[in-house]
Amino acid sequence: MSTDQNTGALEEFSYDDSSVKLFLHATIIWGAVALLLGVVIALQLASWQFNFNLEWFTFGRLRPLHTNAAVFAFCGNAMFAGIYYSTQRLCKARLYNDFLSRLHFWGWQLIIVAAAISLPLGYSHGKEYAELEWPIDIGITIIWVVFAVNFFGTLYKRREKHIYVALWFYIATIVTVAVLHIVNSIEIPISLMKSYPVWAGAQDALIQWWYGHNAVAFFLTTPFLGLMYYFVPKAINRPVYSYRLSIIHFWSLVFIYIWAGPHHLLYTALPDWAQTLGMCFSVILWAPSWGGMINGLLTMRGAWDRVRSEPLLKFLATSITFYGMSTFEGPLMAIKSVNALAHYTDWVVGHVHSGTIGWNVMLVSGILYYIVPKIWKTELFSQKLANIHFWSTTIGLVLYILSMWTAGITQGLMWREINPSTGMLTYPNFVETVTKIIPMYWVRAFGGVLVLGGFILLLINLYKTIARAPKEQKEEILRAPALEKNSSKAKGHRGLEGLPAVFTVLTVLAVLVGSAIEILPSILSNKWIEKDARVTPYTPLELAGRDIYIREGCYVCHSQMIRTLPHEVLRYGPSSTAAEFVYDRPFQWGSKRTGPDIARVGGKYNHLWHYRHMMDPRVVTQGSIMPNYPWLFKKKADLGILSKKLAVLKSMGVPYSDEEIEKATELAKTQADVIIKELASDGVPTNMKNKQIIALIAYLQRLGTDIQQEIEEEE
Amino acid sequence: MKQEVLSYFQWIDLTNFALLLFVFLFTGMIFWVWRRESNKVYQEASMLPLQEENKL
Repeated sequence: MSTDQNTGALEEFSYDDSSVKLFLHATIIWGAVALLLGVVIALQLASWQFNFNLEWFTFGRLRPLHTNAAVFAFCGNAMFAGIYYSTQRLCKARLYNDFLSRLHFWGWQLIIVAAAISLPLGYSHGKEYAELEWPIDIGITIIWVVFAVNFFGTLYKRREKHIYVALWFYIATIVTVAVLHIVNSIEIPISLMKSYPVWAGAQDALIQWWYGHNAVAFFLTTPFLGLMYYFVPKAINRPVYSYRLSIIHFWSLVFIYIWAGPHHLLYTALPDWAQTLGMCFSVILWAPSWGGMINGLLTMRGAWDRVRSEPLLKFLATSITFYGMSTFEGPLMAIKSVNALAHYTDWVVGHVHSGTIGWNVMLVSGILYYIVPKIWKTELFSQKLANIHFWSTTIGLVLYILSMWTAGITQGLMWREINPSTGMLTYPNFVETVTKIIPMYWVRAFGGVLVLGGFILLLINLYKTIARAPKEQKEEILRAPALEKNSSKAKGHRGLEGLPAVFTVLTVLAVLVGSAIEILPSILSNKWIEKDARVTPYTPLELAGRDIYIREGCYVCHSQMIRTLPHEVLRYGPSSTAAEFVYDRPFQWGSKRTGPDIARVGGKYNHLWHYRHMMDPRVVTQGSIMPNYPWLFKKKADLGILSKKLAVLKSMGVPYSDEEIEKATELAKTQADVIIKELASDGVPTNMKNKQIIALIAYLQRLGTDIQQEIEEEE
Repeated sequence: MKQEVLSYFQWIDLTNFALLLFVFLFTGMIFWVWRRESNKVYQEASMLPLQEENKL
C-alpha cells in the first residue's frame, strides 16, 4: 500500500506482458469464432436448410460448440488476460513463472482446438457446458492447476501487503471452478473418447445443474466482477464507490450463488425440498448481485459526462447495466410460478444472452479497448469504429432479447392454453407452437449478425492499433519496496486480506456449505429416490441407440422430463418420476424444447414413423424445423463395444447379468432383427438392420414405457 | 415440502442453529465491516488499482 510502511530497499522487477498479449490475441480471435457459430446456429433454427444435411454441421453438434467457444474459449481467454494483467499490477510482481504462463496459454488453446474438433465429430458427454470427453476433461484439470499455481505463486511473491478486492474474486473463481469441474466430471472411460458418468438420473441432474449454474457464476460472473473492480476504477481514474460494499458483495455472492442450481429443475422429478431451496436462494441472490451492480455504477458517478464521448466507458457502463438487468431477470425466472411459463422456452435463451452478450461481451470489449492500446504503448486506431461497434452490439442485443422474450412467452402461453369448455389443449399440435415463432428466430439471427459485425469492427480496430505500435516492445524495469514479512499486524478484514491461504480456505468453506447441503443427501441417503421395480436397465441395442442420441445432441432441443403441470400431463402423459431415470447415465432431461418432450414417446408411433422422421422430419410433421439425419441410414451401429459398455455400467451398480454382458452384441442383433422385420413389412430394405437408425429407434421406442405398460395393464 | 425434508433429516435443532448462525454471521459482518476506525484502511485499499508503477 503506501510506501511509508515499507522502508526497505527498492527491488527491481518487470511485468510479463507478453503472456497477457497472447491471451488478448486469443480472446479477439475466439470471440469472433464464438459469435460466428452463434449466428450459424441461429440461422439453423430459423431455417432447417442451414444444417446442410451434414453430419458434423447439424444444430445438435454445433450448439455445444458455440457454448463451449463462447464460455471457455472467449470468456476463458479474456479472463486469463485480464487476471494476469491486473494481478501483476495489484501485486507489484511479475507472474510467478514464465514457463507456467506459456504452458497455461498453449495448454488452454490445445483444449479449445480439441473441443473444436471433437464436438462436431459427436464426441460428447451430453451434459450442457460439460460436453467435452474425458481426455479433454483431464487436460482442463491439469491446465487449471497450472493457472492456480501461477496465480497463487504471484500472490506469494507480491510486494503489496493488501490483497485488493479484484483478487478475491479471482481466488473464488480458481478454487470453485476446480471443485465444480472435478465433481461433475467423475466418469468411467469406455474407450478413448467415450465414458459414462458415475452419477445417474436425478442425482446426475442435480450435480449437472449445480455445475451448470455455477459455471455461469464462477466462470462468467466472479472473474468478470473482479475485472470490473480493477478496470472500471482504472478507466475513469477514480476508486471504487464503496470498498466496504465490495466486501459484503464478495462474501454474500460466493456463499449464496452455489445454492441456486436447482432452479434449472423446477417442477421436475427432483425432490421438492431441493427445488424450493434452489428457488429461495435464487431470489436471495438478487441482493448481492445488485450490491455489485450498484457499486460498479456508482463508481462511475462524476464521470458520466465522459460516457458520451468515450466508447470504452459506454461499454463498461452498459455491461454493468446488463449485469443488473440479467441478475434481476434470473431470480424472477427462478420463481416457480414464473418458471412454469419460462422453462424450456426461448425466454431462457434470451436471458442467458443478456448475461453473456450484455455483461461478458460488453465488459470484455471495454477492457480490450482499454488494455490493448496501453499494453502495446500506442493509441486506439479509431474511436469512431469503437463507437459503431458499441451501437451495433447494443441494437443487436436488444433485438435478440426482445425477439426471445416474444418467442418464449408466446410459445409458453400456447403450450399451457387449455380450452375451458372441453378441458383439452388448445394447441395440441406441438409444431403449431414452433411455426408461430419462426419470424422471431429471423429477428434473433439478425440481432446476432449485428453483434458479430460489431465484434469484427473491434477485431479490425485492435489489429490496426497493434500494427501502429512501436516495433520494439521492451519490458520496462519497475521498482517497488519489498514486502516486509513482519509488518505490523493489520486489523479487521484487512488482516484477512493479508493472508491469502486463510482467505482461500474461508472462500472454499463458503462455497462448500451450500454444495454439501444440496448434494450430500443424494449421495448418502438410499431413500433419496424411491425405487420402482418396474424400471429395468436398457437393453444392449437401446443403449447403443441412447449413445447415438447423446452423440447427435438431441437433448439440446428435446427434453425427457414431463413436469408436474396439468398441461404437460395432457400433452405428454403422466409426469416423470425420479425412479424412471435411475439407469440414465448421463441424464437427458434437457433444458429447452425446440421440439416436443419425448420422455414417453415410446410406443406412441410405429417404427416406420421414426424411420421416416429421421430421414426427413417434414414427411411426417409438416413445418418441422428438425434437421435430416441421412447418415444414420448409412453408418453401421457399433455393437461390438456393447459388452464393454454393459460391464462398465454393471461396475456402477446397474443390474446386468454376466450372461447379458457376454452376449450383449448377440442380444442387440436379435432385437434389431425384430425391429427390421416390422419395418420390412412396410417396405424398408432388410439390409438396414445393422444401421444406426435401428438402434436409435429401439431407444426411442423404449422411452417412458416401463411405467406406461403397467398403467395400461391396470386399466 | 417440510414433511419431506424432515423425513430425510432428523436434526431439527440443527436447522434452527444454522439459521441463527448465518443471520448473526451476516449482521456481525455488516457491523464489523462498517466500523468507523477502519475508514482509513479501506480508503487506502480502494486506491490500489490507481497507483502507478515506479518506473526506473
